[in-house]
Amino acid sequence: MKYKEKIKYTPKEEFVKRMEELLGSKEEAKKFFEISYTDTPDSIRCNTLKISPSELKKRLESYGWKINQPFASFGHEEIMIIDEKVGGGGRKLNPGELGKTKEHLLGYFYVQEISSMLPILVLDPKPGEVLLDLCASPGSKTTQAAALMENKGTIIANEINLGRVGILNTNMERCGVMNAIVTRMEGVAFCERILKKTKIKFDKILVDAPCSGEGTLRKSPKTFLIWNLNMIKKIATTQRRLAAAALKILKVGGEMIYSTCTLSPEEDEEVIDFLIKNFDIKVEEIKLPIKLRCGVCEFEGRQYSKEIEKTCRLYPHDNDTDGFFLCKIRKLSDKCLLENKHGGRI
Amino acid sequence: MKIEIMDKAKKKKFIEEVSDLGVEKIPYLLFKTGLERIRAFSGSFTNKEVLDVWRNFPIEGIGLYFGKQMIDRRTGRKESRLSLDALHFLKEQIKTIIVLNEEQEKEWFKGKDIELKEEQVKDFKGNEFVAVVSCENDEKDIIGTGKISSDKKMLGNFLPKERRRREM
Repeated sequence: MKYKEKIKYTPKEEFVKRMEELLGSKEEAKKFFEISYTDTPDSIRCNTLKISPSELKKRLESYGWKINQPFASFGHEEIMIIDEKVGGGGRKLNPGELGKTKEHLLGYFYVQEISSMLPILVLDPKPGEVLLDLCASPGSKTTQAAALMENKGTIIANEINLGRVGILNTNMERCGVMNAIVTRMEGVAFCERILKKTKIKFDKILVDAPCSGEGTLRKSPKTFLIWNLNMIKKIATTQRRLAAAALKILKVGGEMIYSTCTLSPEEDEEVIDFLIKNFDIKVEEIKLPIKLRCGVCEFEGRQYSKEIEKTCRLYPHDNDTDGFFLCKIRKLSDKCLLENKHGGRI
Repeated sequence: MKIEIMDKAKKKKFIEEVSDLGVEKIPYLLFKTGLERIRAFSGSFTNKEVLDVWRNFPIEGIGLYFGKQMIDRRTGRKESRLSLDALHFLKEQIKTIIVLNEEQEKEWFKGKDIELKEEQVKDFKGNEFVAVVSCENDEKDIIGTGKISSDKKMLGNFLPKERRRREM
């Protein structure tokens, strides 16, 4: 969407006030909303199941694009930004240009926003592990995990929506994911059935929960229109249920990432606070080579556990990305204070 | 999705059927899904664990679409072919290739059948599957599975719709 069209959408007063409280000043909130009307940089992730980052870089440079690898020093050369503001022969990409390249059609790379790559970087799945991606479509994180796992170990990629399962399958095929099983179930029901009918326990779980999308305004400015507090509260209930159900099928000592592309504390910190109060877990620190801000321990007069400070908030204007929330949890024991330990409804 | 684990004999037969391409070994667990489609799974779950998941959950996909065992409508003969992504994972073994020029490659990615030149087919007998390769700036890419017609004039295009370029 062009800037002229995007600018037609404006935030509701209540949304602005909340962002001012979260960011600590009107100036910061202004920066947050200003960047919402601009596009994110073109970022891709090299699919190391099919090609090496150095070979892909060489090929893309031959199109006249300048390739930056902002996470190379962190050991992740596969993450690339196609720089638009280059003087050395580079040029601005046309819409859809990346998707039409032979390299994309053959599954050599995945077009993925930087913030969306972070949960799997933090979860760091290894070959041989058993991983659950509870809300998997469109498959950006599933394919990223499969690449890090070198197609070894097993991924169960679950998705509730039939149409989105199709997209997930298409992306997984293109990227050559061979170690995954795709299931279609509502997330909580999936976890309950795993608990009741199988002996499967997961080494690692990703709960990239459906959310109100406050962090993706740059892509979907229509979020300004549909934003409302009731929706946030409703989604937060679903998120709590998903995260709690997932924790029950995680191995003791296993790791879970809870992430959303929204910035409302009800969907982020409050979900983690709920987990801390009801499960024997530890929130672990996250280290990434970009500017991250600590989770908020107080919002609109509500106070959360001190542990929440270890969760991360990613604001669009800090790193020129989308907004994101990220929390790494380690399960310490099977202790659960919720009424029905074996999958009761939350 | 119905799945059937291919036993040793069935797997061996499938490998034999695609051996014209040079394939001698497929180091993955193979599943037959539906009547024709074959999928490969490289995960750590055992056969029993996979079946356990299949019995208890609505499975929408397992592993990677690897190929097809089907009957040629014209000749009525049984034949097998590998998928584009299967070729990517077996590229070290693939020997039977046909190299397209730049113009042909453009048409290939539109999903069109390709008119072949005599020099491109001199080593082929016709009516056979080949790995289709594009060669640009010394970069060789397997870009799909094709079938050379019996008169060796055309290359049938099996590039899936979602891998085609919608407009150039």
